[in-house]
Amino acid sequence: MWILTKIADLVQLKPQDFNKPSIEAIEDKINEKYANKVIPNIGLCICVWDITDASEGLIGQYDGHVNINVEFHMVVFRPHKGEVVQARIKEQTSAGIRLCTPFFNDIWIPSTELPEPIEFVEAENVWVWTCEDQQLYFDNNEIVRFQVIEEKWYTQPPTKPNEPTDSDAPTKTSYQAPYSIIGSMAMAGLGCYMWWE
Amino acid sequence: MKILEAQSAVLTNYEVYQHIVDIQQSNNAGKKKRRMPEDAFRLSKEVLDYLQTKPYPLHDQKEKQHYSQNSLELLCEKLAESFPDITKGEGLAIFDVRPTNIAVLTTLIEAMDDRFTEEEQHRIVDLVIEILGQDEPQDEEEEGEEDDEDGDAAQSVEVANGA
Repeated sequence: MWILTKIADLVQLKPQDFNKPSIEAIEDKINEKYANKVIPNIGLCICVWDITDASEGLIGQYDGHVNINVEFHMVVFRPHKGEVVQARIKEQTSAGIRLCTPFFNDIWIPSTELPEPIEFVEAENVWVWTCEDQQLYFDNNEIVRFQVIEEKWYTQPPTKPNEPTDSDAPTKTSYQAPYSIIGSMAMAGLGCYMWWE
Repeated sequence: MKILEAQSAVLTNYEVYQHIVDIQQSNNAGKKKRRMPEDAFRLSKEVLDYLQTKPYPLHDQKEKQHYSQNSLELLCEKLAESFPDITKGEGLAIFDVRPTNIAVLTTLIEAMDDRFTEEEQHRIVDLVIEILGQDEPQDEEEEGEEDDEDGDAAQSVEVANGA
């Protein structure tokens, strides 16, 4: 579920950071820039693992910033295809089930990837799986296990500046997650973990 | 920014967990408390919460200490010894999820029924329990199910609380 990615970047320390030990100041700068950001085709950055190399600091001519070339390892959330991961059920629609973890909300289980025979109960908005004459509910907030089958990357293209002709009606912006995971719960052993205890 | 290696290594849940716990401890240790930048601080806390959510085996790591670098090495060694067929990736998945029954093990090992006999499957599970421990059966629901609207869930919670 987690990988280490090696990245090289230029870190700029401002004079007000000089009171910290250099290594801490560099780590803070990197964490500030990368934590909770998605790098396309890499994954969601969590925090620095270690710093493997740092150049001598060069002081900029005008602003007094120290410029350092740093190489470091980043802890990255990137479950691989086929991996079994656990998450919580967030919401359900007739199209499928949305899952979330405390730090990642873009996990989608399409209805075709639910165990058969499955039925969507419109009145309660829940999926119900009939297993050996037993009705098993996918309740919201339950912890489930799912298998990663696909990942989707999306890079937001730059948008045109708003034309000033319109009144102040808020512009519609459709949000698309930069990194989302498509999963399956069709296999035995997946779905709510309590079913298999 | 330049990506030098997209994937230099794969980390287990335990390693990520330990890394964050270590950071928190060293930040709180000195005379001067240190804190990570806001986003990283919040995110690492959330990751820690996530990894300590049942049924992930790290949920009782603080009390039981089932997981360590040694237990990882021991598990890999024993698996390689008795079941050379299990790939490294499958071994790590077993370490992360700690399957204590056959149903869960099935999800972690590809085409398990073709590759291992039923007896072998039981031996894998026994090995996992021996090295990584297991939850006591019928532990109280520390999880705290919050969904009261749904009849079934609410009932099972009541039963658990009443027990």
